[in-house]
Amino acid sequence: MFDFGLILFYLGTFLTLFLGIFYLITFFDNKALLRDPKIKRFPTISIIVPAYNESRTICRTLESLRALNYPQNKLEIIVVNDGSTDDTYAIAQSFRGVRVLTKTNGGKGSAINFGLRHATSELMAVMDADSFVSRNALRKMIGHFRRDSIMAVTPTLKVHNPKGFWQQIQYVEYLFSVLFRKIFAFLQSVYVTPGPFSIYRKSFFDKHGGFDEANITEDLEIALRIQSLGYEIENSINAEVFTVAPSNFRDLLRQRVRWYSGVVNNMWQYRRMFTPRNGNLGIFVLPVAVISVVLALAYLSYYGISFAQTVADGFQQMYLINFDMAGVAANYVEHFSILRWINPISMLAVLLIMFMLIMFGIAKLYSRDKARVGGGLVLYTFTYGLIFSAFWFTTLAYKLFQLRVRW
Amino acid sequence: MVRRKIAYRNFLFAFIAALVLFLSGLFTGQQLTSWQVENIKRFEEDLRTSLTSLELRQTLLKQNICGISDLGQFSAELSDLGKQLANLESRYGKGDNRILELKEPYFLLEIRHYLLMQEAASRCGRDFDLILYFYSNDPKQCEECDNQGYILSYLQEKLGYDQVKMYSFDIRSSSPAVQTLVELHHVKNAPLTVVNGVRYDKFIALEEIEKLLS
Repeated sequence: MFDFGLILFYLGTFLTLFLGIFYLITFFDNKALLRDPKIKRFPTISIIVPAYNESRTICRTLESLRALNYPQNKLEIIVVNDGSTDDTYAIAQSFRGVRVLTKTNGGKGSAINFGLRHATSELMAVMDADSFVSRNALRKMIGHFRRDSIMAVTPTLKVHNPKGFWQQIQYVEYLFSVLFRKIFAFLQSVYVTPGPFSIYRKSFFDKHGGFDEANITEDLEIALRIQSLGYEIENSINAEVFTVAPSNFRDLLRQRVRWYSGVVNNMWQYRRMFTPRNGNLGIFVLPVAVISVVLALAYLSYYGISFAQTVADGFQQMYLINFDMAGVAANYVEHFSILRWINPISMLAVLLIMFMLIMFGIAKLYSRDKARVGGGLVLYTFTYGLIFSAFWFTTLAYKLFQLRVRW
Repeated sequence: MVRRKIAYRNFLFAFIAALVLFLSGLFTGQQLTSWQVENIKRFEEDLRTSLTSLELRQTLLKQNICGISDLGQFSAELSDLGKQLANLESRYGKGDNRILELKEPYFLLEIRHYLLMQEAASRCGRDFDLILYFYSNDPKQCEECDNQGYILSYLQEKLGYDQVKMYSFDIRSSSPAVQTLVELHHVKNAPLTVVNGVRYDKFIALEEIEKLLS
């Protein structure tokens, strides 16, 4: 008999084991490369800060950039005020040594390109105005430009001072990304250069054009473009950059619908990259990213329906016995058997949780994360899959009904 | 343009390691199930021996079943066996052959126990309720069987095994003894419940059954 649930279960288990083992082997195989390469010279760098109504956070961003441990004569900070309606422009202007440009609102991509046209340095960094860098981040990243083919270097991105449920689960999510981004770098497969403090060779933009202004996730597009043209993207696990994560459901949903829509659009746009010519990225990392989402949605649908059915059945049974909860509970305790809980699904859950804890431990250890985990890990374990699958479903609904995704 | 590598060696190693772990997991699961099935078989064997002993004692006492004081002690064990079977059934499905095989001897044990209890009730005036419950494992044949079974199990738990002796039978069982019982009670459809000798050929709610009990 064709049992969809069983096939899904076996497929998920095998894939989880395979991916987990493969990523761990890759990480420990390349552990010696976790140290950042030594800097041979200090190239000039322009840091572009696109800002639209960022008066609440830009002050801290600029303070952190000004405090960077880097020769000041080699460092240029450019704020591009993208038609803000608050006092972002005035705040930026109050900083000494910061160039402030202003233009009419045109979106993040257009603001970065505007800054690019005014930048004269050898390297260019993009810095979101809601994030801030650690003092030595730039020094740690620069050494990675050790070959001409390396076009970009990404930092380690963490959630700043996570508070409340939504930021706590994002803190854990970001910490996982720290590890995966490094592993992907080992596999020559980094496919996103995040907005907060990714550094690029300016020559790339001179030769291949600036950021795609129509793209809602320009950081994903630029990374895929770099990879598709046969260049490399590196990562420094030691260069810490902190970002302020959305603190409520509405903001997070909006952010994720934009991100995930961007993933769908860009994966389709760069579908030609799914070939062996693009190495691990083409035959493994990108296909796995797509398959994982499809499987996660299939899991959520299947087990969601099963769970709803169980709840409905349970309710009906309770109705049949006039809701004698105490009687049922007493009976359950009296006849409790651990064997009832040993089944394939619970085994898979244990396996996934074990794998997750190992990955989390490695990420925390090697990125020298000092933040207190608190209840974040527990919350993440039991809610992340559900919440983020729901965000994916929302994104697909946006796509299906061709709704406009807002910033 | 950089030459891109493919990590064939690590892919292969991860694949083999994952396969070994996956197959070990499958094997462990299989062993665990076999162990549970064996456990139930042993349990059935023990119960069969105990019931044979009871029957022999009855014969030795020249049919005077009322002289046996520990007559009721196997009700809970029989019920426990039924629960273990139901538990396995919920995990592996109602059509699983291993469970269907385990059920046949269980039905025979139920019949033997039922006959002893019926004898005790009529000869010694023992004050307990006897319930026969006929169900079908095929949900198409019996939509209400799960609900009826749930109510009856609940009642037995609530009132205790000494008070309620319940025996459930799958009307599709291939056992001639079960089929004889099915014929004796004119079972055409499930659910069918016989409470203290009174036959109900439809679903009965909790309150109705409670009214019928002593």
